[in-house]
Amino acid sequence: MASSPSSQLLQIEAVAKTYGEHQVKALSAVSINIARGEFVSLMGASGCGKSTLLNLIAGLDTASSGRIIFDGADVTKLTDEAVTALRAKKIGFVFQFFNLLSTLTVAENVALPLELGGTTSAADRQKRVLEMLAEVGMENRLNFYPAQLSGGEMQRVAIARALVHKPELIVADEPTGNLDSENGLKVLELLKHLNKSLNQTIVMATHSEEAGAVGDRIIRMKDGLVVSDSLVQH
Amino acid sequence: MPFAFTLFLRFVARDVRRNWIRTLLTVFGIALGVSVYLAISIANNTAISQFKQTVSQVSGKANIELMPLSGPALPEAVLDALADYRMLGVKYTPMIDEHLVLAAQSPEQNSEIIQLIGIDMLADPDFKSYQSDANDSETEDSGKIRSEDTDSDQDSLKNLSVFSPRAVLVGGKLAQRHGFKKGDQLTIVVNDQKEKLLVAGVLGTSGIGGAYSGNVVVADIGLAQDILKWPGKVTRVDLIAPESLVPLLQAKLQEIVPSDVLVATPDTRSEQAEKMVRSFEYNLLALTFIALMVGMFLIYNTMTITILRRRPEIGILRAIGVSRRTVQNIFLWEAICLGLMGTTLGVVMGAFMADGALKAVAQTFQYFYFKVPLDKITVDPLQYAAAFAIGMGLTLIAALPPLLESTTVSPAEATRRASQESNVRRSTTPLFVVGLACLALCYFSALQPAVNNFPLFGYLAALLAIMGCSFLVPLILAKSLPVLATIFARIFGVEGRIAAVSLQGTLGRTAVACASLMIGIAMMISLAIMISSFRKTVTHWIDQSFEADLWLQSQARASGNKFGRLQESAIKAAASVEGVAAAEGFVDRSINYQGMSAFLAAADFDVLTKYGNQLFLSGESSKTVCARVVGMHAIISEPFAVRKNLKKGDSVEIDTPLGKRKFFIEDVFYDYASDLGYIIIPRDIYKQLYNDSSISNVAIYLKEGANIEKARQGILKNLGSSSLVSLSSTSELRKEAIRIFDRTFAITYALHTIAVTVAMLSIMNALFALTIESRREFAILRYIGAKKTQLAKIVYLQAAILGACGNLGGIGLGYILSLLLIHVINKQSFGWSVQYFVPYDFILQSSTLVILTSLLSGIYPARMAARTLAPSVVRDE
Ligand SMILES: Nc1ncnc2c1ncn2[C@@H]1O[C@H](COP(=O)(O)OP(=O)(O)OP(=O)(O)O)[C@@H](O)[C@H]1O
Ligand SMILES: [Mg+2]
Repeated sequence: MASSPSSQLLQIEAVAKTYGEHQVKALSAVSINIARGEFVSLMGASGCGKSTLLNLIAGLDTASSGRIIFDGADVTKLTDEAVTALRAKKIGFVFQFFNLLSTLTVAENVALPLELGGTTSAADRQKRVLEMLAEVGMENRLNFYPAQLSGGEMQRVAIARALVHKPELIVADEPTGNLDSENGLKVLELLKHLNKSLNQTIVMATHSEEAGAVGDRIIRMKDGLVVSDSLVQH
Repeated sequence: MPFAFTLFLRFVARDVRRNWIRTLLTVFGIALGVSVYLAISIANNTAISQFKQTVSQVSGKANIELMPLSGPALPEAVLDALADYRMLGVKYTPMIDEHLVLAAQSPEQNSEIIQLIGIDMLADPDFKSYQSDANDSETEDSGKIRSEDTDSDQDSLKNLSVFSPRAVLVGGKLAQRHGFKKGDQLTIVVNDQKEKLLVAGVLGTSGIGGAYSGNVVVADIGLAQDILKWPGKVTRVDLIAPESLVPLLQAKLQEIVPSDVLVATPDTRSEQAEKMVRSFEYNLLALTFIALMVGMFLIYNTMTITILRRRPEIGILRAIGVSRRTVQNIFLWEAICLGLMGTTLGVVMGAFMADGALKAVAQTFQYFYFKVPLDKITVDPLQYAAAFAIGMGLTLIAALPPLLESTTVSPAEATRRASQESNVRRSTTPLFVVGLACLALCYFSALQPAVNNFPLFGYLAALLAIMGCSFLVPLILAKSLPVLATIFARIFGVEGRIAAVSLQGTLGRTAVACASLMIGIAMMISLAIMISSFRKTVTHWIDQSFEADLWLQSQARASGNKFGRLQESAIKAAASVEGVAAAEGFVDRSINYQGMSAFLAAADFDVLTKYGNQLFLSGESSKTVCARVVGMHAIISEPFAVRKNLKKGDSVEIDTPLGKRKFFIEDVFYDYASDLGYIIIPRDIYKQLYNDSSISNVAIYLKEGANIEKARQGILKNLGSSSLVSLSSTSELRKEAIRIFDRTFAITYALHTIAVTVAMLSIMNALFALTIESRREFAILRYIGAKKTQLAKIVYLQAAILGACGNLGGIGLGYILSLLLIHVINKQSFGWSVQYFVPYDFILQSSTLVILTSLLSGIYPARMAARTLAPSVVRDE
């Protein structure tokens, strides 16, 4: 699976991000290394720059300065097209708010990244989609539209979609933020399970200490800076 | 299936179907624009192609023609000069091709205009392709006299041929309509006399029998001259020359024929006909383009709002790894689909409407320009293809800005909570400046002269006005909505405030909706102003310049044959009746002036000076101007002056049988009777130059207090019962003139109705878009505890605000467009000065209609808003 021999999947070097006309400094000189198979929790108060950092990692936004080496390639130097291709192949997303396309059914939403890759046959695709939906416990909702699901269910479908094309990295931005504690817990357990059984690398931003503790490693941020980086004792 | 296509089906097509009402409105909007365009262009094309077809059917294989410049006919004597060319293989035949009034054949019928074709029946068979191609009609030996021996075996009938006295061939269509068969008599009206002709046979549908759709009477040339009272004259000489000789011969002939004879090709006539009707056609097409434009705005509006609404979802696609290009493509396909549906529907509707459009313009073509039958549309696949291409092309142009907008969606938008507003919001001021620049350019463009008699810059100015006003909308809304919010808060309470504030919050969408509404309404208003200004002007002109009490003309002319004449003695016959103060003779003939059809007329200016009341551009009184028109002086009509760029003090040189003659232009008179143009010269000069003392009509002025009925009886008695004339009072004439005017504008009225429909469509479309957009907000309001009725109230208030803003803008833009239509586009196309007149009553009515429609189209969205289930919406995003 790994195309790079290095065990480091992600190297973030002195990345800074300033927004717009008000010159909001969302990130200042952040440096982090993430190895394959790690489950990293990004924590900190609201507005400290978690989402900004995740967006930069995934190439959803461009850094003002610094380098982000993902799987051997410098994301900050790639063209929009190349970053788009990188996301399609190697990254899966789970967001807090908008996740699913409202006009696509559950199965279609999950199949999307596979279809985008275009390498698998229709039959293989269907098999994989079913497999993933079974993994997240949504195999009986195949033809539902997002509007017919509960929030927790939507989030689980989103995770299935994030995983379906076997990405190198899953980026999850407060996946439980919009859920009650019970549903939130289910989602977290699911992520933990994926990390353990598939050795899936995950970077997750969260507010809650409880959620953060699910990961192997907690990075705390404050005002755009990393203030601590520690392993979790399970 | 390729990924992008699958994505299109799932992501776009399903959304299009979910919002099917809006889709329907949009598709119908495009369809309407395309259909009127197609219908009008088919009608226009039919007129021209019928004309061309008739030219080729009548002229056969002729490749050179001699045509008269100074009137409807040329002297046969010109043939003598051609004899020498026989040796070179040149063949020629004289020909008559003229209107003829067929009298009512029975009391329940009306008289009608048909065509009289006179040919040399003994001439070379090459000219008579119409006589020899017998194999295309199964029932009739086309062209050849069809003998109907089965019907009758009388000897006299057997011997009846085109060479029998007063015997003619009758076109199949005509024969069919009246049941004419060999041996029958038919009655015609020539000038003020009824005459009889004998049917020698019925023609088939091919060749000459098919000319004028078979509404023809074909006679030997000698008989035709006799019928028309044109001894020694023909309307044309057709020549067939070896192809290689044509250019040389043309030049040579021009040297030897009299100066008032034109050497041309059959194409020349078609070209002239096209030139003649060009303004009329372009003007109609331009009106249909306004409808197309509103259709474009519907597309723009629908697509822009769709893309704004789906920004977060587009963000998800981008985050997952869908490229910019794919995003753009799937929306491009949406545009293509909407365009395809609308355009296809439009083409189908247009094909159905074409018949109606042709009926609406046929009489105008026939009355003002040329008399070819226009009872059936000519189907030209190119026309359909062009309509299709225009529909699709405009759709794609309209979709371009929203497509570009779709590519600007950054993947990070998937992570934001609220969907982003369009860039419009940030660029209200720059857009306003661009708008002002467009309006300045519009003003500048409006001042430019016509290009080849075509108001190119006028149309450009109209386009600039529409663009300019649209660009002003965002800033005006941005500035006025907050003010409105405070006012509405006071009147309607919190709902009023929310209504205005949320419109402000989605400024981009509000502006797009408002602008598209404005354009629809502007189209409606500008057409209304144009029509009523025209009508007002023409009515005023008719009231002013039709001063005489009675108008006398021959029966033939009254039936529509412009060449129906009276003897000059009719003037005296009228003048000598008790109670008549004076009678003025007037005669007109069509001439060819610098390659353009026009009318040369002659009047008794001494009588006009005393009694007439022409309105002149200089503002001088009719008396003073007419008194100066003696000798080689003339007055010309405004359309003529505009087209030929002439003015008071210039001179016109016209071809007469005695050579070229120059006339000094005393003044230019207002004339709304024809856009072809008149030159009027003194009648004594005319008589000398044209050796023609006959007259077209007589204007009769009564003494103070004279009894009109008594005078009428006296005149008819004086003329004698054998003279068939029409004697109408001025009020009858005025009524007739207004009737003709209304008929000419019938198509414009129809387009106006369509403008109103499209305007209403755009209101509904805009409101729909807006309320669909507001669903999230409504859901939140419901969470907070807003009642259903409150949500409905907000929707209705927003509908009213939009309707009112669009209406105000529409009136403003409509005012600018109407100025352009009246003072630039129509003026340069037709040469008519039109007094500006604003139909306030219509504007009031239409404004009420707009507000009502706005409120009505708020019903569904209001219900939808009231039904909004809070959780479902907030969640599903
Ligand atoms: N598009 C943007 N334009 C301007 N400023 C932005 C933008 N996005 C984020 N910011 C600013 O950057 C800072 C960091 O925002 P970010 O969304 O990364 O915070 P966060 O840690 O994810 O907070 P939360 O826990 O509330 O999601 C904030 O101060 C925010 O105001
Ligand atoms: Mg965040």
